[in-house]
Amino acid sequence: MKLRIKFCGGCNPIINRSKLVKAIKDELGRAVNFEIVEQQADVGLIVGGCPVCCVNLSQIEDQARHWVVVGGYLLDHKQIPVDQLPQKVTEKLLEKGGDKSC
Amino acid sequence: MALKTPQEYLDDLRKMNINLYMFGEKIENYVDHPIIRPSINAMAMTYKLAQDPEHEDLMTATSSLTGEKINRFCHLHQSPEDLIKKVKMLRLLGQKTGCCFQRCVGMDAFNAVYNTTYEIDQANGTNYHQRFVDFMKYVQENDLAVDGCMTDARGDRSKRPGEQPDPDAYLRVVERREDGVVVRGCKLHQTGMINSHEMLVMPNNTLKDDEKDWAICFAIPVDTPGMIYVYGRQSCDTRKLEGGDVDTGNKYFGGQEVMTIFNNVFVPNERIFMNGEVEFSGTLVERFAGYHRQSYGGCKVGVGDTLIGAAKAITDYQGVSKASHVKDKLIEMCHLNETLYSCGIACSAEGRKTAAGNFLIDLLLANICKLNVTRFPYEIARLAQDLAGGFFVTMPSEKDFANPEIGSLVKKYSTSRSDVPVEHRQRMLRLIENLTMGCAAVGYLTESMHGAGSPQAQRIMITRLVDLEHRKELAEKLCGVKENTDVDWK
Ligand SMILES: Cc1cc2nc3c(=O)[nH]c(=O)nc-3n(C[C@H](O)[C@H](O)[C@H](O)COP(=O)(O)OP(=O)(O)OC[C@H]3O[C@@H](n4cnc5c(N)ncnc54)[C@H](O)[C@@H]3O)c2cc1C
Ligand code: SF4
Repeated sequence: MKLRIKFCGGCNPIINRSKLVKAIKDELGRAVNFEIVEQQADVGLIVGGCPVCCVNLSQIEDQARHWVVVGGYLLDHKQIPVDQLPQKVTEKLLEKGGDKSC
Repeated sequence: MALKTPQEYLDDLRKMNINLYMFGEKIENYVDHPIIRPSINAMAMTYKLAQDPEHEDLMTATSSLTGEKINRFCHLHQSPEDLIKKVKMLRLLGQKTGCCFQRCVGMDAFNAVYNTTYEIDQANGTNYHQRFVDFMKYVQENDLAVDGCMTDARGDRSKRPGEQPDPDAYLRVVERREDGVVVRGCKLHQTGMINSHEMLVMPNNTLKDDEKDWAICFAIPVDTPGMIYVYGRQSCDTRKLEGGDVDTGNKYFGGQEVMTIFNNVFVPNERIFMNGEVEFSGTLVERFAGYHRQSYGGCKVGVGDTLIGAAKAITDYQGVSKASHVKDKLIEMCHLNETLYSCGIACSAEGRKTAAGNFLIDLLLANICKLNVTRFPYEIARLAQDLAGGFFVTMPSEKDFANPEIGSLVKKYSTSRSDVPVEHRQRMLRLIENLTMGCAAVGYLTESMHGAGSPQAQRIMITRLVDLEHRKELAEKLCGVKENTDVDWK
């Protein structure tokens, strides 16, 4: 699986973004072979530090076929307990990244 | 090269030939001077974070001039989103450095000069805007730090530039040549001046018809012949010469202000962006000040975050963090800080497109932002001092803590919670001292008061931008003094 990771700028994060990404990579690595790419990803992950999630998706949308968006404790707009984020995000990545349709 | 590394930036500084004085002596190697280096480190962070994937979304932008990825500090804002990201970027830098990181003044200056030169050209058929665009491309392509240079020596405050007994009290043109002009004068308080590659000089006031010599805007390299720099002192600055790393409070970073003397300096035509157009001097001053008043809704908030963090830490270390008044004071600090941030975001979200195409903040809300900034950091600092206790102003020096004879006693009586190393308490108290009355207080407090204009300057703008008569009519309609045609139903 080709994975694109895009961080927000991190001005006022309420979650530890690097720690979250490390945990997701660990979890994902146990389920599937993946590589980090900048373009043409099967799935992209936006890591926003807070619910504002101010990364402008329209500017990077073409870098991945599907996107999963984390904004603080929100995963694709749904609130998730912070300790469950790595697992839930990984599930979403596998679900969307495995889908080869456009 | 669109993005410089911190090392490349430092290498640039080493190549510059700066005529600098400090403590009455000429300074040859200023890059490694212990008093100056923390300020260079702070500026270097604006380069470092732009390279970091975890921050680049705020720290970089796509140039409207070249289409290249550039440092946001070199960007001409293209949307309200850009204005908002600027505020967030400044907050981030404030958090990472705990001081003034100096690069925003230039960004604010060139956004103002960009749209003002366009309007001058439209009105007068001049060629300033294209010259300025060429300058901006050079800045963006080389990722340069630019100092925004406005405040003159000003002499007698009751007199206009043209009325001063010494006409050099405001920087002016003293000679006009075919290929350029010669200027003389002094800009005071220049933030990050000798940490910059270039300076962008602007007039200080709205000028009258007979004050054309003072209506001059230009850019020159900081090491231009004829420039003399005198380093500004900061409270507790010589602690940086003592060789320790505790009593300075902030171990890595600091601010910088420099007296900047133009001793008959030549400026070539291609670097002149206003020359005698007094009718646009007010617009330029107002817009630069507006952008800079917005900036404070980001940078001071970031530094505030570090002071709130220090207050929280010291209450933990000293065993009082569970007391309700302590929690309440920390919340009050956050409330004040986030109010400043709200103002920075609000004036950005309400930003508008200028005729030149870049975006300008809402001037009223930017002035409200800055007027709050003249007050709230002082209250946040007062609360931090309340929570810290008095030891941060009476604590012995770090050398006493290390002294073989008395060190153990000094440590014994400086210990608060037994499970917290005494050095942690010592460092945190010094950071609070640094932020509220030491080197960083220059940026966090006094610059909050006077930087981008003293409070009265904001009040004058608010008076101009708020329609009080409209508000009066609202009241008159509600209470029946005036007819209210809105209520037309039976
Ligand atoms: C830390 C710091 C960094 C700065 N960085 C920069 C920078 O990078 N670039 C830059 O260009 N400038 C910079 N400034 C300058 C800043 O904009 C000025 O300090 C500010 O405009 C106030 O000017 P002043 O210091 O001359 O004070 P003054 O203008 O002398 O003000 C002192 C008091 O006098 C009042 N006053 C002044 N004139 C009048 C008058 N005519 N009538 C009635 N009352 C009056 C003011 O309201 C104020 O209360 C910086 C300032 C500080 C403190
Ligand atoms: S998502 Fe939140 S933390 Fe990240 S840059 Fe945007 S506002 Fe700041």
